[in-house]
Amino acid sequence: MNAFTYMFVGYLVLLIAIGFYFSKKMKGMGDFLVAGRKLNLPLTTATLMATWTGAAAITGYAGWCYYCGYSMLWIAFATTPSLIIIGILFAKKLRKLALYTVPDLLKLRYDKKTGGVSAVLIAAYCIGVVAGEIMGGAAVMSTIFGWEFAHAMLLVAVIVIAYTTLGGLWAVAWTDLIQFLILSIGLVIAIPLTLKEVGGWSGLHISLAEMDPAHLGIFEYAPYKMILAWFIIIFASNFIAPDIYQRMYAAKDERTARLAMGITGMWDTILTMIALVLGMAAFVIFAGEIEGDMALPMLIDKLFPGIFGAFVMVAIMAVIMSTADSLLVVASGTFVEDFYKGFINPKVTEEYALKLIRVMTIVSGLIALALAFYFESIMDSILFASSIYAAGLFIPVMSAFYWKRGTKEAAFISALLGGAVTIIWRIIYGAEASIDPILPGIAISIVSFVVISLLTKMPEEEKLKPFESI
Amino acid sequence: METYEMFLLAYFLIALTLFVILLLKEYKLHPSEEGST
Repeated sequence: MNAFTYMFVGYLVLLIAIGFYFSKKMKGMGDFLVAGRKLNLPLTTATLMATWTGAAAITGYAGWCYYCGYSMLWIAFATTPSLIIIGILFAKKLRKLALYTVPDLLKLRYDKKTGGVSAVLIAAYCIGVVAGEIMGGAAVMSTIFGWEFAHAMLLVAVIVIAYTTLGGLWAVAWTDLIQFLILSIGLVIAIPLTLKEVGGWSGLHISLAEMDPAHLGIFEYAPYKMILAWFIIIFASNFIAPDIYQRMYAAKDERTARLAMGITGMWDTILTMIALVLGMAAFVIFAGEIEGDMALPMLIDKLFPGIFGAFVMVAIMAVIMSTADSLLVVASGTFVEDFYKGFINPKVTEEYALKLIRVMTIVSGLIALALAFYFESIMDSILFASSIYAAGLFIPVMSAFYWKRGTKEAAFISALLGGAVTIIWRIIYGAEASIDPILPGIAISIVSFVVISLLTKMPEEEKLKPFESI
Repeated sequence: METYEMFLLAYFLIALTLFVILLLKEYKLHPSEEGST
């Protein structure tokens, strides 16, 4: 597919050029991590939407709709409202706090130790999700070029690490905007062409009813226990998502932060429809005979020849890479801010910190690449990474905003217990556990947080002050 | 109306309602605020 090759190479050159341009402008960590807190509404919204639309949302979710049809809409019932509610409840508060990372918030409200635990959980979350994104990118590349999956993963990882290391969040925000525009145009082309192929909206549903009526049901593939686990994982992890927090900190003002979050929520409804239509259409076209994660790339490869197909593929690669780059910035920033500055060298210069963040961006990218070889599917890596993070940190972060009685001892222990129980549950019961690891994880986090808080000394007034005025 | 159609409709209505609440909260409750930092 020559058109794709040319388009993709051109696109990569553009990305690296943007990385270079912003690397020259970068003066310190504030520029790298929160783009100097100067992101306007279009840039904040685009970087949020593009980060949101990663491999999970496009390739992974379409893959699940391919297998299960409308039952998967339950995931969107949790995701979309959670995004808009963040806009209603937290966006302004976060922008007012004007921090760098999620651990900053925990350090401010509790102590350095809790910040340290959260840095580990966040790095695990980000690196796990980046691993999923690398797999998503490799699925597209191997479909197009017929390459070995492992080679495709290597290439995707190297490209993302390269331009993120150069340009930080400025480069990420600008490439997100470009990538998001490419995706929108690509999908505008993909949806009508796909529907035409399956006989339109009604034709799609008639075929589904004939092939597998369960695709049209809303509980057939989603038992209530699963729906409950999805709601908890999605609400809890989104409410404290480090990539969302970082963009709220980076917005140029409070109104920008809130509106960007609301628009991203509305974008999620469109994205949901796109994944649903493309996933179910792929089921009809391939008669359920291919792997879910490959459904979207193969659908595009089959339906859109030449330049159109190339454009849509580049668009999908673009969103996958934009999620990966954003999370790499979060992972490296968290490490330097909260581990290195907190425990190793508090007096580090801005210049040295920036160098270190770049080194950590490379290291995080390489760990993610290693994990991508280890995990079996995109959704598996992303949902599990989210579960560990949410079980550990949801309760301490929410308490920072809403419960004054929460103490630093409770935050530290509940974060450790929540994360640890989730991991241990998964190791003991495996991926097919009848009770999702998030449920025991978050339960132990709530109980330990409340009990220890009530048994320990009320937090000092100075710790509560920054949160009272927001 | 089929079940899946009602399901889709409910999804869009929830999203739209929340978005309107967000806009009302931003513009109606703080009309004069120009989004200071």
